[in-house]
Parts: sequence; structure tokens; C-alpha cells
Amino acid sequence: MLQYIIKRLLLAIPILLAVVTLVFFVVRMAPGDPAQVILGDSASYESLTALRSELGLDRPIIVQYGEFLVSLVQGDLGDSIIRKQSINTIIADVLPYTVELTLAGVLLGVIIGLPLGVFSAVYRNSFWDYLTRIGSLIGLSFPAFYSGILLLLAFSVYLGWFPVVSDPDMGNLGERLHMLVLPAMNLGLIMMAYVVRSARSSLLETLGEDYIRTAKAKGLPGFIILYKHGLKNALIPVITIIGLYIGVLVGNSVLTEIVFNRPGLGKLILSALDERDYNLLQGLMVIYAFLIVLVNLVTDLTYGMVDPRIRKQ
Amino acid sequence: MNTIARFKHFGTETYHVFNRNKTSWIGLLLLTMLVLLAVLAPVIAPYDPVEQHIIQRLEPPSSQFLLGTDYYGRDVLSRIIWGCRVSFIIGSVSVAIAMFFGTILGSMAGYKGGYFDAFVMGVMDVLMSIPTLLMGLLIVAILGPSQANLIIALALTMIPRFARIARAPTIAAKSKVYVEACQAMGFSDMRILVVHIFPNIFGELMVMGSMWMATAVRTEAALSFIGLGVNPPTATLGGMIREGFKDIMSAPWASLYPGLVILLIVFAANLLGDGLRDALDPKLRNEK
Repeated sequence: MLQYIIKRLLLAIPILLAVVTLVFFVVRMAPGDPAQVILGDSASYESLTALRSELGLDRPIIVQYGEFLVSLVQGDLGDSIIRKQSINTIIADVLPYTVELTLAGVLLGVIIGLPLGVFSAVYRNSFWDYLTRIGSLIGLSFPAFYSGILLLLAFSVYLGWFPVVSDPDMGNLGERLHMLVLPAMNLGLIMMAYVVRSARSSLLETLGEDYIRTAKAKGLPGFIILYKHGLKNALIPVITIIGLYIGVLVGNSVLTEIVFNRPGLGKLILSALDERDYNLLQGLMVIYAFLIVLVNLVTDLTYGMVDPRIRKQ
Repeated sequence: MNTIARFKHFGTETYHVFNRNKTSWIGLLLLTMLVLLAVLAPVIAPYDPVEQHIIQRLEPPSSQFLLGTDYYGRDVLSRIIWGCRVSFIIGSVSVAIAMFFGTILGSMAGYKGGYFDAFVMGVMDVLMSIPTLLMGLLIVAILGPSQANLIIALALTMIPRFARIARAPTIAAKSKVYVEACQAMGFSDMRILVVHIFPNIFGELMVMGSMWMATAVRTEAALSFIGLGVNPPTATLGGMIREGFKDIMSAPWASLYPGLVILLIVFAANLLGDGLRDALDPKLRNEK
């Protein structure tokens, strides 16, 4: 197992390096000179040149790239040129909010989605199966900002169960959880839709295998066949889907944070775009890429845990 | 079987399974209606989508304005119809571009193998490790928001997906005897790919095209909602929600109806893709 983990870790490095490189150069292609952005249009040529050399922008791009990589390896994302603050601090301040939102969404989606998918597969082509399938297809068609608006209108405005504007800075754990419910539900519904569909199709495929027929012929009780022989084997594609769609969920968390006015990486990205703070934008993209690569890694490791065959390969 | 006959065979078979799967007909019907709405926008939209009736701002739905008016007194229905047009143009063109380049890259990589394959798929993996919305956001932020740039951004995020889909069946087909026979007869790689391998992956590409069209429409709407869409006053569904969100309490029609239409488009495309997938899956094909 340890060997497997190390192998996976080593494989993640070139991907990360390439993503980071891509982000660095794409951000450098952006129009507008950061020095001009800071000093405004009326700045003199001399002050612009002075600031450029202070920010290190007058050096060759390869040198800048090298320095960027060196500080990245040391865990330093550099400073925000607009906020005059370390990007690490800025991101560390809001990262927990995005992480708790995404995790809660995944958890909700799996807890509700998995049993629904199993149910749908076991009672295939029944009325409830059709209802679940159509429901999950609608669920994954919802743009996250629209479902967010509808949830907000229904539960906060009309029913008044939840605050309209989230403010997770305030209050104790209970209040913080209370404010997390709606945004997490918004992400959870999307995740649930993906989980239901993959669980259903994967289980259906597994239940059609010969060894299931053998198990039935042996006279094993239905739930043992379903759990031991069906579900365990059907789980791997479901894990893939969960891992894959956490990326989609991260994208949707940006929209969810805007609609619910929650602090987080998504809102930070918007202000970075607004302020043309390209350093911050670059830092955020690197963090997102790290998160995605990390999720992929965890997904792969989970396979290894669920299926010993993969570990041995 | 020659290529045309194969496509024909594929067509009739798909039709039959389509027939068994009633939901895919609903998807096709819904999508066709929405496309017609978008195509006929200049004829059926009751008002000019950017014409402002300043005195009649934020009016609720009435016989004069069927779905009400927005903050600037523009007719919501007309803006929705024209917004559909933008959604469909951006969605279908970006998917077409992604399908074209993705298929070429993926099948070439699968066919050639070796370093070329490793390099192309490595690049695709890197592109895929940035979420679609964030990639779109980054590209539009850098290129500037316009219809063409949105198309480029969306196409770039989708190329890797199509490359992946095209690669695997190409590798499988490459080792088939008939492809070896073609190689022995000295056919060019291009001819083998287009005539002998492409028809085999055509079905799956259509399924993915339909599914990714849904995603493209949704991502475009999301970018417009964030404020990185086609510039106002052009009517876009996501942009309408963005503008209407401010007045959601007093005039929910200005943002809720456009959202409903996005949902309908995405749902119809997904329904169609789902039906096509069932129709093409050999495991499900013989099922009653």
C-alpha cells in the first residue's frame, strides 16, 4: 500500500508543475500593466518604471517564472499587489469556508444519493425508478446559481428558516452550521444527482454479472447478494464519479458563494478579477489546481482501499 | 459495409431504440422547440430586446408584456427569446469546435501511440485538472468578455473531454484485422482514421456532444451571471438573472423566468444525450 501511495504521489508532481506553469503564463498574458493598475492612468513614466522594478516586473519573464517556482516550492504564493498582503494569509483566511462548504455538499450528496441510486437500481423500471431518474436529471441540469436563488427564496424569504445573508464570522458552531445548511444543500443536490445516476447504472451492470446469478443459485438472501456481491463491486465507478465531480462542485461553490454571499475562494476570485489583482488570481488558481490534484489523489487511493486488485497492479 | 450504409444502419437502429425510450423523444422535441424559438427570434419576439419602456419598469406580467418587464423597462419575454439565441450559438459552436479538435487530437494520439500519445494526453490531463468554470473564468478574464472569446474559452475546456472519448475506441480499432489490412494495402493514416475508425466512435461523440452542449450552455450562463458574459445590453439568459437578482423581491419575474429557460435547455439536452446513450449502448440495446 505504501508503495502505491508513493507512486501516486510522484505521478501527481508533473501534472501540478504543468498546471502551475500554465497558470503563470496565462495570467501574464492578461492585458494591463499591474504598475499602471496600482498607480492609475495619470501616473508618470518615472514612477511607473520605479514601481515596475520594485515589483520585479522589469526582469525577463523566465527569471520571474523561476522565482515564482522557487517560492512556490517553499509554500509562498507571493504578495497581493493591490492589498499589500501575503497571498497565503488572504487565502488561508477564507479557505476553511470553501472547504467546509464543499465537504458538506459532497457528504450530503453521497448520504442521500447512494441509497437512492441503489433503490432505483433494485426497483428498476418501476414508477419510483423513473421518478428518481428524471429527478436526478433535473438536478444535474440546474445551474448552481439558479438553484441557489430558488432555495434562498423558498427557505429564507418565504419560510424564514435560514438567514438570507450568511455571515459565518459571527456566532458559535451551531449558528455557523445553521448558515451552512442552505449553501451545502445547494451543492449537495448537484452531487446527489451525479451519485444517484452513477450508483444506479453501476449497480445495474454489476447485478447482471454471472457471479450474482451464482449467488442467487446458491440461495443467498437478497440483501447479502446486494451488499456483499453487488454494492462492493459497484462502488468503484461511483467513487470515480464522486472524485470527478468534486471538480465540478468546486466550480459551483464559486456560484454558491456569490448567491449566498458567503466568504470563500469564489468571492475572492471575483474581487481579484475586479481589482485586476493578477498575483492573487494566480495564487487562487494554483490553490484550486492543488485541491483538484489532491482530490484525484485521494480518489485513486480510495480505489486502492476498496479494491485490492488495483493496489497490486 | 461501406460508410454510408453503416451510417444508415446506425440511423435506423438508433431510431428504433429511441422509440423504446420515450423520454429521449421528449428531450428531442423540447430541444427542437427551443432551437426554433431561438432561430425565429426576429419574427416571434414581441418587442426589440433592448428597447426600453422607461415608464413601465419592473412591471409584472400582463397582456402587454407577457412575462413582465425588467429594471430598464425591457420586455422579459423578448429578451429571453433573444437570449436563447445567444445560448444556442455559444453552446453549439463551442461544442462543434471542441468536438472537431478533440476528436482529431484524441484519435491521432490513440492511432500514433508512443511519445506523441503521451504528450497529447499529458497536456489534456493538465487542462482537465482545472475546473471548467474556473478555466472559462480565467480565459474570459484575460481575453475580455465577448461572444467569440466565450466560445474559445468553452471550447478549450471541452477539447480534452472529446480527446479522451476519441482515443480509447481508436486504440481498440487499431488492433483490428481490418485496420491492419488497410495498412497493408498502403492506405494513408488519414483515410484509415476517417473512413474506418471514425464511424465507430461517431455515436459516442454524439452522446457526448449533447451532454457537453448542456454543460456549455450552463457554463455560459454562469459566466454571464458572474459578469463575464457577452457585454450588455445584449440579452443573455445568465446576464438577465444577474440584472434581475437585485430586484428579486419586488420583481421575481425578471430573473426567475430566464433561469427556468436555462434549466429547460440544459434539461432537454441532457435528456436527449441520455436517450442517445441508452440507444447506443450495446448492453442496453437489446433490452425491452
